[in-house]
Amino acid sequence: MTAIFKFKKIMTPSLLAAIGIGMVCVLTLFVEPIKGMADNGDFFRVAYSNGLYYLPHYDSNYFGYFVSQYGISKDFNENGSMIFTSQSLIIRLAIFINRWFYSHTIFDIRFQAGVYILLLMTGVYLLVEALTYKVRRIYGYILALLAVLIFGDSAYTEYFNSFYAESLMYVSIIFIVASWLLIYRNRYSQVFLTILYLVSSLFLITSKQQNAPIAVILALMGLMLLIFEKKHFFRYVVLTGSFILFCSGAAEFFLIPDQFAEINQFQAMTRGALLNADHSEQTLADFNINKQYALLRSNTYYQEYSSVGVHSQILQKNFYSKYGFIKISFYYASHLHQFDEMLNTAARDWFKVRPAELGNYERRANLPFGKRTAYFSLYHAFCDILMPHRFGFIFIWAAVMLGLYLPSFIHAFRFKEERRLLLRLPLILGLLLMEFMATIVAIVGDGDADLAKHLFLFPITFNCLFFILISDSLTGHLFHNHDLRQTDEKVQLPNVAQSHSEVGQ
Amino acid sequence: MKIRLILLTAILVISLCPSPAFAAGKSADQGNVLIVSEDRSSGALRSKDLQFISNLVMAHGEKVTLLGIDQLTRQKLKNFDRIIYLANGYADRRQKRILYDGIEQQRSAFLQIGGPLPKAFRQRMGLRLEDQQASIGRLELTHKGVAQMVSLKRCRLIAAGNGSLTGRFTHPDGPIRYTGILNKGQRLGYLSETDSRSIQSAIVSELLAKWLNKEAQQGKIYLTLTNITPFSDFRKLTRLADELHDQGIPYLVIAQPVTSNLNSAAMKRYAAMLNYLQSRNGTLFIGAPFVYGVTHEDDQLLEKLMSVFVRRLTQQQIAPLGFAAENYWLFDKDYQRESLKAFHSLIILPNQENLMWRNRSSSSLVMGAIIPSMSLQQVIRSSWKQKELEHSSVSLALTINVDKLLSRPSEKAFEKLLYQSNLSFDDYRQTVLRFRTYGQIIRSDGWTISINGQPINQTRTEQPSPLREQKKEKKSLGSPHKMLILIFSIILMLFILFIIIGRTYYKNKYKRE
Repeated sequence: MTAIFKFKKIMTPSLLAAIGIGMVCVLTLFVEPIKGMADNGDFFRVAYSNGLYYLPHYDSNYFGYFVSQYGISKDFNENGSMIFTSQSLIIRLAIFINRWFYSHTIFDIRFQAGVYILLLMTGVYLLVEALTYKVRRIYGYILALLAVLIFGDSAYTEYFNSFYAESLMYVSIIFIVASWLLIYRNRYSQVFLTILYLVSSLFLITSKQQNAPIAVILALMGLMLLIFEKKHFFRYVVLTGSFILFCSGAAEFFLIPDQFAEINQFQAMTRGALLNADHSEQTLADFNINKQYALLRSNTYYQEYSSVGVHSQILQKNFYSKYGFIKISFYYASHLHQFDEMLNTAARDWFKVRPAELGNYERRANLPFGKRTAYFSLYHAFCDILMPHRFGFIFIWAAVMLGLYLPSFIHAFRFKEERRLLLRLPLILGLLLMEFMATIVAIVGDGDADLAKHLFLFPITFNCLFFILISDSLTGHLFHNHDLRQTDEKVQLPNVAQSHSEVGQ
Repeated sequence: MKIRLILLTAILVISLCPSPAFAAGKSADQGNVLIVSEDRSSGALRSKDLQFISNLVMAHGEKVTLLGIDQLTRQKLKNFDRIIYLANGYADRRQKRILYDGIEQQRSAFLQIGGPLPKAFRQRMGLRLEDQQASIGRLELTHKGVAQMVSLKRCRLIAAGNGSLTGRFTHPDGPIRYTGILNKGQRLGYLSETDSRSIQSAIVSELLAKWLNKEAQQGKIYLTLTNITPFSDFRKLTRLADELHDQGIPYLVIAQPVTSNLNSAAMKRYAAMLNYLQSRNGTLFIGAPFVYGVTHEDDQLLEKLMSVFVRRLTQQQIAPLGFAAENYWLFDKDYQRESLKAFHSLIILPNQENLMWRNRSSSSLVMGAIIPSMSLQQVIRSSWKQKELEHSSVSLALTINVDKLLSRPSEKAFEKLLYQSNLSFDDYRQTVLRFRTYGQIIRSDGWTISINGQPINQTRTEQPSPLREQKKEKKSLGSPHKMLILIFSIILMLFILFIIIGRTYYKNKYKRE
């Protein structure tokens, strides 16, 4: 009995979840055959600007095999920063650790995976702590195991062994949700958690250009934190932080390198507006573009062979200069059936976290080119097979979530002593908006190209919402706010029905 | 009877015996020309010289093998009996020794371009090299009256030698010097330096033709329109084709292939345009597609794409007589296999900055005709070049990028320049050739061109449907960036307003309390 008591005391559900995640990630990313993500040509910008270079024969691995080793440049890095991304901080930290423990000339990407695993363990620890604090242990352990199943899924964690920004997005969103829920639960230092929220949001926004629009959501959510704390210092931190979040979104957008902008612009037309158009030449005419460009329909920017260079003068002059994302948005607004079709195309890829064309194994594993793993990926398979793949699902999902959490919000609104209890619904709303925005931005910004990666924000926010939903259902907090039972004893709370009747009077 | 039987057996044995060359292990490379250079990288200081020389050798119908001097071994050297050494970088003594010793032992034909020459070789040519101070003088091809005033940097020139001297350099303050020499048996040659842009390029060309025993050949000149894409201005092209046709100027057309949407109306219009060009004295060559990046997902992709495109053209009675690609395509096994081998003729274009190798090879492909290219404007600007072309032993494609002819005045200026020059252009359709390209047999007997035995109609006169007149873009939306800046600014202002109102509201609340 004493042993069980001791175990329960030491092994809290949050610790169990963190250790479980750590073990699964280590098995996935460190034990042979190690899994990762093959390069689709995007690594170049991040790797070279952080002082790494490709070792010989790298080219033959594109798309098919993941590469774990890179050279560390000793000389002055003349590549400079090609893109503005917070991911560089993690890479530089990993290179620093790699230099210390492994080599000054060869970088093993598993050092980066190690950094991400530690971050993920911390994030999941905080998230599970937020949802299982003061909850019956048995439920806590069930949730811990569920957290391992959801957040340790290799479809997400194998990004850690790559230079894609998705890995940083993944851990950032978990920190955002965890810190927000901990504030809501009044656990740990509120100032610390607020800073954690703001910093995680900053990392998420600046990890990738397509996240720039969600800066508005995260900044507004940040302002919500003003409602429960009156201290000057706190308010100063929140205001400044939210302002920085907003500005970082704007900066991230305007600092998109020309080439990135060009790639997105190209595919927004060829894989977007033109793709499902009934009359592609008429579509081009709407944009005042020569109808010969209908030949580019369905082409990607990375097409191996094409008539003209995607960066050629003729395209610059007669194609790119004719439209931008605003025009594309207006086009979709006036062609709603086409927009609907594109959104449904995106919805089909909501849960396809693993890009179909990218392999997960190293060449030395002697597996076929482009072979993908199914290791520890039950949750991903479940979502991909069972979840609806129509855009309409997002509305039903939003209605259900908002409907379930609205009563507790109204309750909290009437209970003015604990303003922080108002925070749960805005989080749900914020995550739903991010899901919505991720889908729209992916389609308008880049057509249906590379959807698995462009929609990455959707499944990770969905996972958080799903986990919160399961947790609250299990622990009975779906319609009631946490911590109210204890509070009820101290303060006589008006119940919801009573409140409504008062309003009626 | 017995004697007869013995004789018959002897003849049979002799005939079945391997030839001495075969017995000596004659390599498949024997007969190729080996070009050894000190720096083979595309960014090398004189990489253009290497391209230029390899193009000339290939244009003479020879197979070229390119090796860096650091890759050279005695064994490799044994496979070649004609070697060109381009001293365009740095090589250590050991590497040079392998080269020179090998040539000495094999008695290979040898031509060195630039750099110092060992004593043994100098003696064989009776060569005396002398330092020449930097000076301005007249450099000329010895027998053809082609000359140019050049400014030479400090270098070593030929003062005397046994053999035919070429590249006579005269200047007021010194004796006559030469830049090139070929010994009497034409097996050994030396050129003091190269510069593919000056008259020295003509000297290299002349010397190479002699060294390869191809000087009797007479090259042809082809006017070549490049950068014709499905997105080109078809009205301008139609006008240009009509103008050239009316002036009786034949020309080659390098048209870019289409790799997707081949059944679209846009493709039909493009095919109609190419058909029209073909009917207006144009000969179609297919340009190499633009290569964005190399993946090895499908190693037959290029072949498939080209095959579909060529089939589509031939269905429209368009007969491509050749292909056009950058120099490095000739040294890539995949490009050779998937595209070059399907054509009889090739126009070599200069390498661009990024070379997209797929499967690099040191040896080139031998084709029916390999035609190096040069910018038409470059030729028109120099009178010596025009004169030299009259005597050139290799054919040359003089290229003009149609994208550069942006406006009517520039088009007119080009036409004027063309008529003023003394160049007379040849008609490639008069070349007799027959080849199979992606399952289609194309034949030209000098007068008519046929596809799979069916002569094509080359006298089509109707113009392809002109493209819709482009209206000026309405500026209602303005630049997307400006619009976004505006949206962001509005949100920012709302944001600040929200904070101010919130703060005031909060303060007022306290005041009331």
